[in-house]
Amino acid sequence: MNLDFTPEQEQFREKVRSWLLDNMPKEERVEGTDQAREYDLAWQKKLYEGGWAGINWPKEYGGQGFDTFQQLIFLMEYAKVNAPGDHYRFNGLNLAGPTIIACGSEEQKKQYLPPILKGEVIWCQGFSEPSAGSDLANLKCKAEIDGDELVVNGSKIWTSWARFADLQQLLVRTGAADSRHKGITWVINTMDNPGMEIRPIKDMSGGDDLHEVFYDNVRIPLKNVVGGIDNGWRVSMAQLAFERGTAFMPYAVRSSTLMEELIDVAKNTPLEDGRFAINDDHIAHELMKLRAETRALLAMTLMGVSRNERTGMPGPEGSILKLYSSEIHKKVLKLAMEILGPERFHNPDLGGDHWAWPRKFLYSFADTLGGGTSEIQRNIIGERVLGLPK
Amino acid sequence: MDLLPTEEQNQIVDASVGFLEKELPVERMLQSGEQPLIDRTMLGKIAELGWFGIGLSEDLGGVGYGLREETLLCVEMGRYLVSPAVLGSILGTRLAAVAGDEELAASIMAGEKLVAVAIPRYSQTPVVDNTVTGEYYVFEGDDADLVLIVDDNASALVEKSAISIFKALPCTDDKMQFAAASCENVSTVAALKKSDEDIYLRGVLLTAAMQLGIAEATRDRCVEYAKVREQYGKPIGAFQAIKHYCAEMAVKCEASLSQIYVAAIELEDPAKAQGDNAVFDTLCAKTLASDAAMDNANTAVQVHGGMGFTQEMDIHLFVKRAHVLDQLFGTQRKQLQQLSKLAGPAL
Repeated sequence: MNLDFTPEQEQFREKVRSWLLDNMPKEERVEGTDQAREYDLAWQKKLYEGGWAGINWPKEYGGQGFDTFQQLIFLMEYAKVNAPGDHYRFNGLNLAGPTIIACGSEEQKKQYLPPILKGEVIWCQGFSEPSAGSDLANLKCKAEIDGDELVVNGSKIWTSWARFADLQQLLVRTGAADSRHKGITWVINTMDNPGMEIRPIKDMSGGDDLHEVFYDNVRIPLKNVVGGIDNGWRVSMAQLAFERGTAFMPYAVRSSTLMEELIDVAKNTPLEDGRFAINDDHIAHELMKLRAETRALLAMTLMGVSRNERTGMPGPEGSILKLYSSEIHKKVLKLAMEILGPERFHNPDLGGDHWAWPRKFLYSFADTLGGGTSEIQRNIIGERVLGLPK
Repeated sequence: MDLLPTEEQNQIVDASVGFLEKELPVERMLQSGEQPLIDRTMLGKIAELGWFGIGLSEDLGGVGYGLREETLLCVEMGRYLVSPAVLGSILGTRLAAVAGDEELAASIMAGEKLVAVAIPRYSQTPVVDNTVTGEYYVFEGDDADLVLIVDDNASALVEKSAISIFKALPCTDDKMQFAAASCENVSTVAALKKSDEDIYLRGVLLTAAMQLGIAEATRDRCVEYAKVREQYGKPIGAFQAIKHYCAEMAVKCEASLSQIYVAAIELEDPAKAQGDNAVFDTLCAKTLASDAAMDNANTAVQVHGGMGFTQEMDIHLFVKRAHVLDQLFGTQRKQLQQLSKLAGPAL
């Protein structure tokens, strides 16, 4: 039981921190525009040139091959200085890249991995469908083999950043309609492929990151299949092996920062009786309860990493972190609305970007839906952590 | 960095669980009769194990482990519904030893003197070096020799016999001794300023550990029950309504456990203990553990259905004990107030 980092690790922390402070982009990123795409690619290129691209990728594929503690320290410092989020780079770095490293052919690795690290391509995901949300194995988007190509027909939904992406990791039904996990194939699709239609979906916060993607006789070369026909379920799980329990460190740090920002807002937002919100017992009580929960998120992340080091694998406890983290984020932003009172409806002159809070609040509903709903996380915790029957 | 207990620490836990399972199984609480939570024979056995001085350094006459080991032990004490007087004696030994009263420390550590724990009612004046005044409630005081009284700035031990009016009362926690104590200028036998040793903060953390024990025990009972209790032809744990209750209980345990371990590490390191993070994290730990113990115990009654409502099962004992621990070393309300006065922790 200790929280000690070695002198080498502390030196590493300093190195990360000073590099980030010297190299982080200063300009604003405008979400949902081509500027955001260019911003993300330029930042990735800079990380690559600085020797920080692919912190959890093996060295032989151009990554940094950092050990678990180096990854932890990197992610912690990265979040502390508020360096740019993964955004459009997320799928390539965390899902498609690791999947290709784990299951791709040598040719696929050579072709697809370097551009991710160098900041040359954006990847998106094509997993969920209208009838395959939590029940992903029910996906229906059909792919038939025709010569040396797959012919894809169907649709995908909830594809983040599809219209800004170059490539897509796509799950298609190659087996019989009822083959479930056994008849799915993981394939690389190009987003300018003829026969595709991309429709942005406007979300409740006003953003349009999400898309529906339609496939009408879209032809994908068979050589783009990763890990073999009908093997896609296993392939899509392979990226999990890259997780070291560090995945929620950025969320833990950002939640703590957000929490302290909210306390500042409460100190500066007057209530109808003239007192500042922080002086209201109910608000102070709720703020401090959430402050404690947010603090625990950090401790839980350290616990997750410790477990991973002991057992060599992240384990299903990751679902506890995912559930806790997303529920807290929602609660913090709901409380922000209460603190802002009627000020939540417009952008008053209270200092700071108060409109950001309602927008974040509205977007936070996605937290407990995306990446596996809270209900799915509770199922996983019940069945795989606690051993309850299905 | 490694938050998990070392092999040696795990051995301490295993040994204590072995003792508790044999000598103080939770079933003891289901037997009728007037036997107390702790008697003199048991006190002697626990003293032999060194629990009362486990976290005290050897140069102060203790066993030589630290707060981390005390914390791990208290989690198990919570799980087995051990008397809060054992916590009182652990803290009392330290108080006496740090205050320089070796003889008193040795007698508590040897189990010759038992330390009850007081909580404030009203009209307390600040605990000062030599006297205590105010209205208190005392847990496990009837058979105790000393009473531990703490406030924000100091901690003190008083002789129970010196308390002006000590009136035993029935307690909702079935076998818990409970009393109203009126103190008027009661002399302390040992006292410490917070700047000498923060007994309050240590008490906060160790109580949180006992609360975690309750949260884990009730989680485990629910999971086991949900696997075997059948309705509609299948185990109730297969229904999401029950499964999700259990999952939430596991989440609360994990949050409290992680936060308590972090706080124990920070508070034990003297260099860090004066820093805000140690105080901040300890207050967070009890806030979280209070919720975990109360919520998990409450949920456990629901998961066990009608049987959970009876005294034939042990679930109700955890509900009642969770309420006692919530009051020890500051209520959640108090901890949240203290937390609100602190700046954000260093990340």
